[in-house]
Amino acid sequence: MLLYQKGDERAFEVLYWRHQRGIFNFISHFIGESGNQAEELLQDVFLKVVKASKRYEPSAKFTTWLYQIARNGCIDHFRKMKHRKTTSLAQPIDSEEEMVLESTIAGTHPSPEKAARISEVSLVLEEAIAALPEDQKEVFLMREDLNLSFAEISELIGCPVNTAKSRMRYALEHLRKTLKREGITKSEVIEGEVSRM
Amino acid sequence: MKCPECDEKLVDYLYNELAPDEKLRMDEHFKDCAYCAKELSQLQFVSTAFQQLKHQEPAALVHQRILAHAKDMAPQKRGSWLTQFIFKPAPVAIVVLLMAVGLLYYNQPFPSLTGNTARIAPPAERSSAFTPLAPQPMLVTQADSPATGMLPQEETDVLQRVTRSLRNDRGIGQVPSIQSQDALYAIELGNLYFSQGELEKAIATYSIALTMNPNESHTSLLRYQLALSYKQLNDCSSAVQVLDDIQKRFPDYQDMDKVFKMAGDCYLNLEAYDKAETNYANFISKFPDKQSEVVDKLETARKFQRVNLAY
Repeated sequence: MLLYQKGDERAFEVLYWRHQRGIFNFISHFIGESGNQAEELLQDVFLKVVKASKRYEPSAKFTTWLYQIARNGCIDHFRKMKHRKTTSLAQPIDSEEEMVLESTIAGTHPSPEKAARISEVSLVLEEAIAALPEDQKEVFLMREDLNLSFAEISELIGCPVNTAKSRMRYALEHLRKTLKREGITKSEVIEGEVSRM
Repeated sequence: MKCPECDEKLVDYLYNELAPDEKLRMDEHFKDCAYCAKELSQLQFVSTAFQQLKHQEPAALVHQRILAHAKDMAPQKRGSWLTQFIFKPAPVAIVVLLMAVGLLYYNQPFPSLTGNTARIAPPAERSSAFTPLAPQPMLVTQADSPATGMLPQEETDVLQRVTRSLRNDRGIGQVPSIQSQDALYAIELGNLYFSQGELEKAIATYSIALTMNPNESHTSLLRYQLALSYKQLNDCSSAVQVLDDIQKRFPDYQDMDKVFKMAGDCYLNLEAYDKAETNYANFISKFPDKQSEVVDKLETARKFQRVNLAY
């Protein structure tokens, strides 16, 4: 970031390619869609980074600063959506997203039945994540998508480390119960992953 | 039966946040405690299932836009005041414009202070003095007016915004946008180059704009501007290809008279007199009230065609 401040455009590219995927996953899981809205939010995040680059000080860790911007963007978006009440996060994801999920798992060439089941598992999980309370969801996604430690998460969201861990545990429990309720077994998930590799 | 002490550490264990000795203790514990082993297994199951959802990617255009914006907004490495000035197109354009205006008025006869004998050139004549700077009148004004607020007002704004949509020179970009708004900015940039006489850049920009799925009226306009740019570069062969294409694909194009006329001129230039004749004849049949504009050229085309046939 300091290099970019000095006019090195390539430095920004390096930062971008390093972080864009994690940020995009975080955003799309947080807001419950991976299409235009997630892309717009991703753009907003990095455009804010560009805009604020002059004010960036090395005292703040870059990733903390970046993820803070991403988190704030998601929360703002969430508030706007709640206000508009146009889309419910509990709604099933649309067919386009299903295609994304299927293509995500594509490359494995599973049988049509297995592919359909994997897609179903993904759908259930996506919905369950969308239905998580916001505080649990952000901890869960920061850990899983951004690979942040609980110490980093607690710093980002401004809570004690143990609180972050508790929220993570609640989130995992919630998701586990949902998967169990939908009859999704561990062997199915493991099989899906193994066949993907 | 719950295992409260271990229960607190399950999440730490799952995400590898325990100190090595603590982790070893937990590993030993799992061998003896079925409850904790099951709990861990179930939490791992959720995490594994989540990992299967990953690998979503934004569209290539999103990367392209963000990186182009970052490039635009990157703080400039400072050079001398002269290089800083020269490499900023907007101030240079303003200075050139002011100099041109100054020269124009300097060359005008001054009105007499004592009588009415001095004549100030009418606006039409004054604008003709700019002909070398502006190759042809801008034709974008003939296109459908874009939605209010979509067009930028400043030249630098046009440049800055369109670069987000265009393939950048570092090979990062993918196929350009499918958004018509991007095409609109590209058209504006092409027009900017055209008006500045940078015809090759104009051609490149119009060509890229055509790949951005512009709407039909913009597509036909773009093709016309492209043909005009080729003609200005004396590349009549390319110009007629584009003009023929307009005639085939957009028979209702609003400025078809200009298309026929330009195609006729280009074919005349290429000594393809039969095709020149066809275009001029089409012009006259469809726009009989304007036939005086091409009637002499039609005769020329016919004359040369007869000469060719005679030989």
